[in-house]
Amino acid sequence: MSEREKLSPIALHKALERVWGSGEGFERLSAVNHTVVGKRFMMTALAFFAIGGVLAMLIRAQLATPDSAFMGPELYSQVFTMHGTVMMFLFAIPMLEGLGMYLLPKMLGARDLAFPRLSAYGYWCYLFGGAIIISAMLFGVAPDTGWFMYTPLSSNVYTPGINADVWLLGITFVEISAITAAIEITVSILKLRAPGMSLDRMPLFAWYMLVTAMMMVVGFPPLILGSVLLEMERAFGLPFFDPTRGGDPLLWQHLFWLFGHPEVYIIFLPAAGALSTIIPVFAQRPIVGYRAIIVAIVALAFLSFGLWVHHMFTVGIPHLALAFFSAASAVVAIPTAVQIFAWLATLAHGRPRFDVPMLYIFGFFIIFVIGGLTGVMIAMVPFNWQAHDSHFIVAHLHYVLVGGFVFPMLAGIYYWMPHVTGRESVHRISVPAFWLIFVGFNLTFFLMHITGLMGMPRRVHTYPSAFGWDWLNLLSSVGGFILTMGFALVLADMILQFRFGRYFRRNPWRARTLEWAIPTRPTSYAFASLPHIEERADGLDVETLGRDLAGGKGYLAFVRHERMETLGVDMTTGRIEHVALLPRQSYIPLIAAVLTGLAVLSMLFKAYWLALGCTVLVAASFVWWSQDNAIEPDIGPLDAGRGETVPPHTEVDGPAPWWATVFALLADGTLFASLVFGTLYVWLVAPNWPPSEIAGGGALLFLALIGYAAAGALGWWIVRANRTGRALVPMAALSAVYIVTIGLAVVALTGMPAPSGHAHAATVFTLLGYGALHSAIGLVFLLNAAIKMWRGMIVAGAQLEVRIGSLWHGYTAVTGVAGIMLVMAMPALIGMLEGVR
Amino acid sequence: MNKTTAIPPSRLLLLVVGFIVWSVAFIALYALNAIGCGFGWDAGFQRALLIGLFALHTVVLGGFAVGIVRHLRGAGFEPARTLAWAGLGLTVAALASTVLVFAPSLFASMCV
Ligand code: HEM
Ligand SMILES: [Cu+2]
Repeated sequence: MSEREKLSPIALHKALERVWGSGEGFERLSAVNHTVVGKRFMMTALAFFAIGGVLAMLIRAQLATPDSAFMGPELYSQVFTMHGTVMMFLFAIPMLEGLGMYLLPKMLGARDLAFPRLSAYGYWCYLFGGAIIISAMLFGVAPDTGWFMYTPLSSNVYTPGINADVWLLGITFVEISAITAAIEITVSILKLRAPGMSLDRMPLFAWYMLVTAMMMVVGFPPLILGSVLLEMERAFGLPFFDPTRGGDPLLWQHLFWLFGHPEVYIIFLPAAGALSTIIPVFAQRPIVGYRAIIVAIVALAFLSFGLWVHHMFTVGIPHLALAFFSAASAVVAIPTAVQIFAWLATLAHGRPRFDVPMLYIFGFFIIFVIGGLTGVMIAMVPFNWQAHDSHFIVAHLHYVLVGGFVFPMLAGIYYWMPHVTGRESVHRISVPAFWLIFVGFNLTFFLMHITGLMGMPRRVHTYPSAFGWDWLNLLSSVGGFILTMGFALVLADMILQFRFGRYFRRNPWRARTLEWAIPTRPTSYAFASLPHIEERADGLDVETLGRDLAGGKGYLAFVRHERMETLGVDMTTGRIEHVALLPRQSYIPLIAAVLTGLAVLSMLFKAYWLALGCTVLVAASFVWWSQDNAIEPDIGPLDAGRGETVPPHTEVDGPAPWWATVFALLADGTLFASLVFGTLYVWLVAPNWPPSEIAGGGALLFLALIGYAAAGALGWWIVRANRTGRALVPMAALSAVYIVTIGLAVVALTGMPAPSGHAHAATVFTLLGYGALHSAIGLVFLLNAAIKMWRGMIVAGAQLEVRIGSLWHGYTAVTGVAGIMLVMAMPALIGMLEGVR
Repeated sequence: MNKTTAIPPSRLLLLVVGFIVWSVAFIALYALNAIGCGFGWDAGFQRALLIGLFALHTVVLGGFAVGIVRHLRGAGFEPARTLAWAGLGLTVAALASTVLVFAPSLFASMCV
């Protein structure tokens, strides 16, 4: 590679900004930059927090006095359902995603996340999904069956309007954004770090986000499946949850809580990651127990998937299973305790310095510990039976969620706001705001423990005056308004800082993590040149490093061919591996999200042909997207600066896109496993089995089985054949196979009992449909690859795209075969029931 | 610097194997209990299977823990060391969780 002329810092800044900057005015809609998208996520999440807060105030206004006529039961149901839904899905999750997106590349020493356009798509999906849900509320048709949407209440017999559909479709839409963000975050942490940042040097926040993102990858699919099944029941009468036709309402509870409990930790872990970042800075010493914390959070992630039934202790489950879930619920307190002790030890061994973020950390300790203690209480089955569905639970869940998420986030906001704005906090009202929030919170919620123990149920719109709950409720409502005043002051504080805060030198808190080594407010490209990391990345000399990097002494201190470039590293050792060529700003993510939104809306209004049309357009937009991203083949090794020369990401094994596919398939696999679980669950426990008509498929299914097996083999053959540029033949063969498997599934299904008759037929329909859907997506993959070959973007030996395709084809083969084998085994399984049921 | 030693991504599995075994045990015991009660198996038989599965997973985890301790000696460099230590911690944690969470297989009533 030729020697580049060295740019002056200003010239370097201008050159990078021209390529990475997001444009003004209308062009903002094409922004893909992680700083911009991360901020959008967080601002939007805070707006939803405000909406959820207003709803909470309505609830407290209603409950302030007995026999209140302010809201009737219908409206009250909508209000508390929307409050819970907005807070969980539209505030907490997007807030943590936004924080991760904004911070991670800067903390890890990269210029952007691995898939900038995917971040943008995820943001638009979130915004549109949230907008659909909020508009439903304005039209008075908001979901009203509780944030966990229990069937049969949420089935169309008891909730005939579109209220429940709004939830099922809208939340699933938002969930797409959550899963894309999770995959993006996982892969970015694993692959796009500064050279030298081996895993043991990664700041803890990245470990926390890695674990969280992996939990989202396997935690959200059960909920997505549950929502899809319930929507199919509501729309087309497939009786997955209807006990009169062989379904089981408890299946919904299992699927929901299989997501729902991990969700609580998904919310908590990033907040804990923020704490693990902020506490060492104010304690002025490194965190105590770096490895112990890694162990604790990975253990926590797994354990949290083994507790879901503790939300179902009262449904009638054998003692043995109760004992498992109860014990796991108690054990999960240990890794949480490990973290708390690590933080306390860090403070105890350091020289703690006081500032506003520390106030919120103090608030967190008190509130979260109380929430944890009541948590262990309700993990005990006999106590749970007493407290179930009372305001004790409302108190507990808010101590955990507000203590474990809102307080750490407020600490984080005060800590990172100067990074976002480049200005100092004005501070005059920060301290009173904290005390209002702290006192208001405890007044509101501590009293709910008492009303709960006195028997006040949750989710009732009013209560008579006879039980002695009146004063407690009134005080609790007063507390709620004090709390709100506190939040209003925080908002005012933020606005003041934006408008009047003084500009300051870099790094006001004397932090030692990389995000402070860039200019604040952050430049679009984050680092003018990328650092080489030689020690743990939470103990860096940020001032010197920042100066050196701005002066172009790191990697990639140049712009090449107007491309956006950052570095990819070996996952474990952090050795420099490739130059990642990122896609430029684009409107395609917005267009794809609009089309996805239209598909969702047409399903909401039961215009299924329109929905199908929109789905095809969505697929087309993804093909366009992929074509637009295409990178010319045979670029060869590139100069990376500092004397290193490495290939582009398209020419190495296992770059970010390949791993992203692996994690996407992991999510998909969890969905498939949940479907298999559901199939076996209704078979084993639902009433009204065996069904009167049994769906066998015979020879047709056997042919489809062979088809799927062939698909896997052909996918593999495509990769081999492309080494010599002769992939078209196996590609054509695979397309034919896919079309045949789809045809076979359709024909087999027409010969079977109607899926609306019994849960058995409904699960068979879904299993076969799952395979057919994957075949159809496989066709899109093939089409996309064929277009790229025709355009000369995939040539002989350019393996990345075909290897990604073959992952998909292999996955389709495995799940297709497994699904059909399960369908073919069903008659025998049903036969086994004859003797016992 | 450890420029020469490659550490494949699969080494990350050290962090999760222990708890994957724990998850498998969870699913196996829970499913066994559900199937046993669904089909009205003989109580002694179900109990024996439950205890057998419980013991099997405990032994497997014990074996993993010993294996990782051996592996630790060879893991002289970072990040191999951190991964090995964290892997050991997690496997031991998984073993402890297995014992604590599944011990009720020994005594709790199975179908009521
Ligand atoms: C701003 C202060 C807040 C107040 C005053 C408040 C108040 C309440 C009250 C009184 C209920 C019970 C309604 C009933 O059962 O009749 C409730 C339910 C709930 N809240 Fe909050 N809340 C607040 C913040 C939050 C936050 C930050 C979250 C989550 C991050 C949250 C999540 C929930 C959930 C999930 C429910 C259950 C909804 C359901 O039963 O379907 N809340 N809230
Ligand atoms: Cu839970």
